[in-house]
Amino acid sequence: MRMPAPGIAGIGRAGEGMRLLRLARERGARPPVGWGAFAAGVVALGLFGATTTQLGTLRIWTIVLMYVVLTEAWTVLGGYGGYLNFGMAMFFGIGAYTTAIVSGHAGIPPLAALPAAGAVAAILGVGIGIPSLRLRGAYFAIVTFVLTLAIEQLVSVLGVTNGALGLYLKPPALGLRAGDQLFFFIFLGGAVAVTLGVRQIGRSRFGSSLVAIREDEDAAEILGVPTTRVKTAAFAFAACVAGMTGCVYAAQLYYIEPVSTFDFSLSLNVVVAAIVGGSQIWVGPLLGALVTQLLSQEFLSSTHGVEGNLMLGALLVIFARFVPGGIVGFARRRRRTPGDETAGTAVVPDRVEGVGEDAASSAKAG
Amino acid sequence: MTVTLQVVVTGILLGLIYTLIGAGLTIVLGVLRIVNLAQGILVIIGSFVAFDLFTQWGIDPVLAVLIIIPVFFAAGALAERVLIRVPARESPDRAMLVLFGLLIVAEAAATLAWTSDSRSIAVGYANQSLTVGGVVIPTDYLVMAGVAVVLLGLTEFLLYRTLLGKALRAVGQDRQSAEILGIDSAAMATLVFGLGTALAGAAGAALGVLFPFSTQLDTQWLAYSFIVVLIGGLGGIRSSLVGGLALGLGQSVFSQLLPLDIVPVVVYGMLAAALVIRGGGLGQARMRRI
Repeated sequence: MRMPAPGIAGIGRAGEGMRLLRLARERGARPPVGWGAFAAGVVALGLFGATTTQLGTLRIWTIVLMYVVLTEAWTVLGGYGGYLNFGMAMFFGIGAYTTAIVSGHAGIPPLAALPAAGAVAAILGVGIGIPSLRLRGAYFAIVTFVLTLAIEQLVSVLGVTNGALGLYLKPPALGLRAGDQLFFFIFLGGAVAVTLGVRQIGRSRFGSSLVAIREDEDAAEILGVPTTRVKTAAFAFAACVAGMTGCVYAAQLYYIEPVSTFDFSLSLNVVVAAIVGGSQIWVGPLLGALVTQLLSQEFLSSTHGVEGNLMLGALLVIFARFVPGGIVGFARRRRRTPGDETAGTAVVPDRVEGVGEDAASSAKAG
Repeated sequence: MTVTLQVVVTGILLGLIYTLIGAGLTIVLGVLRIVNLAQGILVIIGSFVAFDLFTQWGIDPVLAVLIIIPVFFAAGALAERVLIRVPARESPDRAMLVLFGLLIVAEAAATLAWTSDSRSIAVGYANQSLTVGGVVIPTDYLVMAGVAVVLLGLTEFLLYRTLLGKALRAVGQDRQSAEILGIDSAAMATLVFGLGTALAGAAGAALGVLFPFSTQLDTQWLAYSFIVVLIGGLGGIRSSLVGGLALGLGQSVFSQLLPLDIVPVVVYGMLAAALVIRGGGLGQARMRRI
């Protein structure tokens, strides 16, 4: 977790480098949810999955865990790096279709296509990331949004994907309960692995580079952060995880078609979960995905998707407008002394940069 | 030859209406640096309001525009005051997230209110046409393009021929300097957001006459308004006109040349390409801070 010497950044604006360094240290440390709670939750879920006979509840948790995986992966670029990615559904769909095509042609079980799904999605992520991550802020978000539409349209007209009719995969050769348990444990394992991985990324040089990009991309560039490479790697990571998730999804459903596979509400759910939970530390997406998905699965699964979307949209408006930093930011603000700028959102206001901030950091340093 | 002329005329008329969708986005983006993601659903809601006014009270969509504009203006201004202003101060991205949430809420609410069925407004002049030198001009296209021209003209007048417009443009160029000069930039932000919303609603009324619409079509109109902005740039109504006409002509040409289900792929692909190529140019919206 080494950062370039803060003095270099201080040429233009004293304190900026120190602030970045402190921000980097803050991440990964002192999560609102302790390790004990995390481990206990995983063990409890594991026991539940191994023993339960309520397949409905098991399936709900499978979906919740799937969103934990996706949201954690999203957070690396979206939360640490501050680039909004509305394209998770695109990579999810690509992974699902890769699985269907590869397993269909090679005659292997769908889950065996997991590496292929991850690889194809990651390669696509690099291909899309290099040109589009030159764009800043909103424009990158728009590109990912539009490309999802474009690829969905493309998949619905291509021959290899069987157009709008979709593709069938080999159904899993397991009993109903064993099958459901298999996918539950795949996503539980995936959620643990990705969550720990994202936490580790947050404490690495890579994570610090992303935070530096979020806070001030030009300054990061000058400090020697290879911004394009870092951003593209973070984007490809999200793409790869989404692709593998799509693979498991396809194996589970063993039938895919363009509209539901490239469903934009998947991207939406991920963004909402990250904003609700708070996306600047690994705990946030975990909490956000649990809260939003349990809400929408548990209480709204009986109604049509419309009410669920209404709730998710309202949550997004409320959290983006009134609760900067999400649940995690809220918890931190409650716990710490007021005025600590890293407590809530760490987004730097564009206009008041400079004087006030330097005063704040020197006050804290002194 | 007549076919070519036909394609061009349809393209121009369509393009004028597309300009109207793009203009709302351009103004908000140009002055406030905020991408109004709710633009598409506002267009759709405009179509539905025009539909209701037409079927319930027999109000022609052209007159419905006169009702839609003040109502949408008020709604947009209110949304800016309550929901957009504070996050926008933090960063345009945060405001965009709020708008993204609003888009989802509005889409769900519209689906609850009007169901997800496809509708169309069957005005009396829908199936009539004018023939000028062998070229058939559908009357509804002509009428709605006329509405678009009037609204665009008024907006252009407001922006470039009045003191208020000058103040708006000043806020767009440099908010801090504008404030130092005594311009109430908060009021301007409210005004601009209301204006953008009103233009989107009016465009919805016009498009509702020409095409069938449903609540799921909002992403399409959002994408179209992006294309207008990306091709034309942020130079006000005149640059929107360039983008709108290019899109209208492009669409009517592609529809002649390509199979129908490929057209959206090409349009969206072009949009992504335009974003990547022109994005740097638009990025000037965010000034470099070092």
